[in-house]
Order: sequence, then C-alpha cells, then structure tokens
Amino acid sequence: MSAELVGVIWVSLKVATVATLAILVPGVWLGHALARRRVPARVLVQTLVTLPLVLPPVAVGLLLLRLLSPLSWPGTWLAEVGPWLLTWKAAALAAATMSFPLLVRGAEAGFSSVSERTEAVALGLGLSRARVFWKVTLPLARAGILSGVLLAFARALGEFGATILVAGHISGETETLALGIYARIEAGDSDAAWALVGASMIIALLLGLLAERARMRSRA
Amino acid sequence: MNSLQLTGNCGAFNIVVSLQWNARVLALFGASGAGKSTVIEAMAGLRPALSGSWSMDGAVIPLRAGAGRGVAFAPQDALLFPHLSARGNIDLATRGRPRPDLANAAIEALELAALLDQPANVLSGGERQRVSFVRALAAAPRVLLLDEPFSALDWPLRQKALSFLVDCVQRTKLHVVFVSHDPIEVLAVAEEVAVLEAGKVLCCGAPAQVLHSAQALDALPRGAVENVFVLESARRDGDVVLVRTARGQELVMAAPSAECALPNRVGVSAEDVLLATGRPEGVSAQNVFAARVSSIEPAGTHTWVRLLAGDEAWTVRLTRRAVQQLALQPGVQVTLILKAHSIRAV
Repeated sequence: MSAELVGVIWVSLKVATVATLAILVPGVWLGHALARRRVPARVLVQTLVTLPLVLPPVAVGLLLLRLLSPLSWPGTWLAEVGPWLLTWKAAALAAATMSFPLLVRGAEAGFSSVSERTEAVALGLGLSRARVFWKVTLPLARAGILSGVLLAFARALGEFGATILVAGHISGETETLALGIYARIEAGDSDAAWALVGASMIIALLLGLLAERARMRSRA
Repeated sequence: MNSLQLTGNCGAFNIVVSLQWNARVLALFGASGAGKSTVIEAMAGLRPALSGSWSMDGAVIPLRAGAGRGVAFAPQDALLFPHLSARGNIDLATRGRPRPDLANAAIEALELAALLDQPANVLSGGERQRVSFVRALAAAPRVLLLDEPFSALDWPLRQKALSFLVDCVQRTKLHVVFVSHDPIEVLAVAEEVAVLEAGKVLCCGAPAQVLHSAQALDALPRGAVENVFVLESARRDGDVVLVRTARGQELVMAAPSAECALPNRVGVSAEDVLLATGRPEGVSAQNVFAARVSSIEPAGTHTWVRLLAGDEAWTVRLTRRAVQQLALQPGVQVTLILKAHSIRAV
C-alpha cells in the first residue's frame, strides 16, 4: 500500500480519535444528566443533541462553516488559537459534532440501566455522591458508555458531508477515508479506491470485535 | 433518648410514625406489609418522599442519605454492587480507610473468608445477605440499620449471626435498628421493640412484654413461635432432651440430631398447646403439667389464652368454642399438654 494511502488511513484514525476524545467527557456528563437529573427544558436539550443525526450532514457542515468563519465571534475566538478552516482540526470538529448524539445516547442508556436503588444503598452506606458516581454508577454504566463511544468513533471515521465543507479535501491534512474514496472514484483510480474500502472494512471489523469483547466482558 | 418522627405516603398507606426509645437495639416488628421496611429505608435516607426528623442521643441525623451521617444500612435484598467481588463490596464501604476490626470479626463469625474473592453476582441469597451485613459494619457506623438481615440464612448460621450481633452491641457503642417479623430474632437481639401495622406504631416497649400483647401476636404469621423460653440447662436422655427453663419449668423435647448442639432457647407455637380441665391419663404427650389461666383475650376468629405454669408464662391459641366448652375463666386451674415434638430449638 502506498505511503499516500497509509497517510489517508492515518489522518482518518487521528481525526476520529481526537473527535471521540474531545466529546467523551461532555457526552458522558450530558448522558448522566439526562438519565438522572431534572434537566430544564429536557425536550429542547434532547432535540438539540439529536439535531446532527437528523439534519443532512452537509447542513451541519454549513452551520459549522458559519461558526468558524472569521465573521462570527466563535470564529474570531478560535482564530486566536490558530487557523481552523481547511485543517484536520476542522475535520475533527465536524466528526465530533456528528458523533456527539451517539455518545450521549449510549451514555444515557448506560446510566439509565443502573438501578437507582443500588446507588441509593451506596449512599445509605455513607459514601459521598462523588464516590458513588466513580465507584458504583460509572462502572455499572460502562457497557452503555462503551457502546456509545464505539458508535461515535465509527461515525467519526465515516464522516463525509460536514467534513468536506469545513475541512476541504487536502491530501495528507484533511483527506480521511471517506473523502479519499470519493476523490479516487472521481479521478477514476478504482484500485486505490478499493484499497481504501478494504482498509475501512478491516477497521470496521476490528471495531466490531472490540465492541463484542466489551459486551461479553460487561456481561460476565 | 432517641426519637423518630415520620409522615408521608408510601403507596399502600400513610406512614405516621412517632417513636421514642432508649435502648441501643430497637426492633421494628410486624407482619409483611406493615411498613417496617419503608420506615427503616426512610432512616437510611432512601425515602425522600417521607418527611420527618430523627435524632439519636439528641444528635439530629438528616433523613437524606450521604456522607457524614454515621449510619450504614443493609437492605433486605442485600443489593450488593454486582460489578465487584464480595471483598470489593466490603472494602468500598470503608471509604479507603483500613477495614474495621468489627468487620473482620464478622467475616470470621459469618464464615465469609472463603467467599471474599467471589464476584457478588454469583453468590447465593444467604451469602449476599452476609456480605451486605459485613459491608454495613465496614462503614464503621454509629447506627447500623438492618432490614431482615438474616432471613435467608439457614438456622445454625442465623444463630451464629444473631449471637455475633448481640456480642457486637455489648462490646462496642454501636446502635442498631433492625426490622424483623420473627419474634425469636427480636427476643434474642432487641432491647426494645416497636410493633408496626399499616404504617403506624401499635405499641413499643420491652420485647418480652410487647411480644405477648394481643396486638403483637396478631401481627405474627400463623404457626409462628409465640412462646420462647431461655434455658438454664439441657441434657440428652436417649432420644429426648430434658430441659429446664430459666424460671424453673421442666420440659421434655425430642432430641435434635446428634451433631446439633443442645439449644439454649426453645419455642412452642401457641397452636400446639392443648388444655384440659382434668388430669388426663395415658396420653403419649411427654409434657403434662398444671397451669392457671391468667387472662383470656378474644381476637377476631380465635382467642388468646394466657396461663401461668409455675413462674413461666404461656400463650395458647384456642377457638372460642373450646374456651366456652371448658368454661375457661381467669383463675381456673387447667392441665397444659404438650408433645415433645412441639418444642423446637430456636
């Protein structure tokens, strides 16, 4: 496999990993809040969280483009840290936005599956709320959170519509698997396209195995 | 002085509890569905819907679970943390401090050492209850709340657990509130007992008195052991055991199997006792002795007859018809008849 193709895989994995890590804490936090706390305007929050799943990815891309533009205040603020548009960071932001609902939903399902009575008994033993969360709730919600993380990672890996708008197609910088396959088909290089499809399948297979192992473990 | 005030709705009925007690060990006693578990769960802080106040020796304990209350709770269904081992469950309750000696002693006494590394979700019901009890002790509480803590244990182990609990209270400053529907447990452990029915306290006082009140007796399941006697001595004689109660009544009971230790308490169900107005001849029953009726209390479909044989008080359940046929009245002399097999080690 050529260095160029390896580069595509590398960018893809980097973008998906950074995107997943970036949404991990806020996603788990929001999932916990939705499952356990009295969230004001819950329906509105849930709708907003789900929005990227419902909207066409290109529409999300356009919204992000607006957000990152130097004309908007987040854009000016982000520009202080360095350029975003047409960089791999923009690709990661697009992937993170698209994956966020999946992580939140997984975490929410995970936390909802933990019996509130078990948590209450832990409190009844005199444990602090923080200790109950770290030692009882979080480990028991692990399976749901993990499945959310894996789905989010998979979604980030396959992101196309929003990514191409904000990150463009720059070989070695923003060219992910999805963009790479599309570009090679456009260029008539079907061998290279198939090689990338093969690589995608191998990664998908590994993710599937990982998910299954996590599921078996949490069952045991 | 300790006090508990609780009010609120718990679905089936309203809880209206106002309770004051002095003893270190209080039992909440009553039939199933009387609200015992609701009350103890409220004390554990698991029933925020109920409002009220609780104080122990004048110190207020908030009715909201969390750190710093000095209270630990072992629920009826044990509710171990399923992702941890037995040891993990116990050590989580210590909040990172070394495990208290009392918890180690409990592991020893309740024969848990071999089970410590087992995952909590493979343990049997009785094993879970024991771990849950030790877990509560491991939290080093000032007040230990136990909801039917040993109900799933077989009898020998249950006796061990009960004597360990009694020992605990004697050796430490631990306060215990426990729920039970078993008068034997109450008599063995509690210094005071509150009888609950439909969310209200019917009566409260010393177990020996309260448990012989008609209100408490009616809360008992059918066939329970209403008469419990502490023994002064017991010795085997062939296939029977000759026992003498602390108040001097001699009884003959069928011998438990050879490997079982001789009992230090025996119980007799109020249904198993026969009364006769004369002295019967040629009966197989091994216990035939004189008694005097001290009171007769009709209660719904049956009648509680209380007797005094020597210094030992007996409670007998008869039909109203039997009471009429024998013309029983307070002060009447009768013969109390009891099979050797009706006396059980408790």
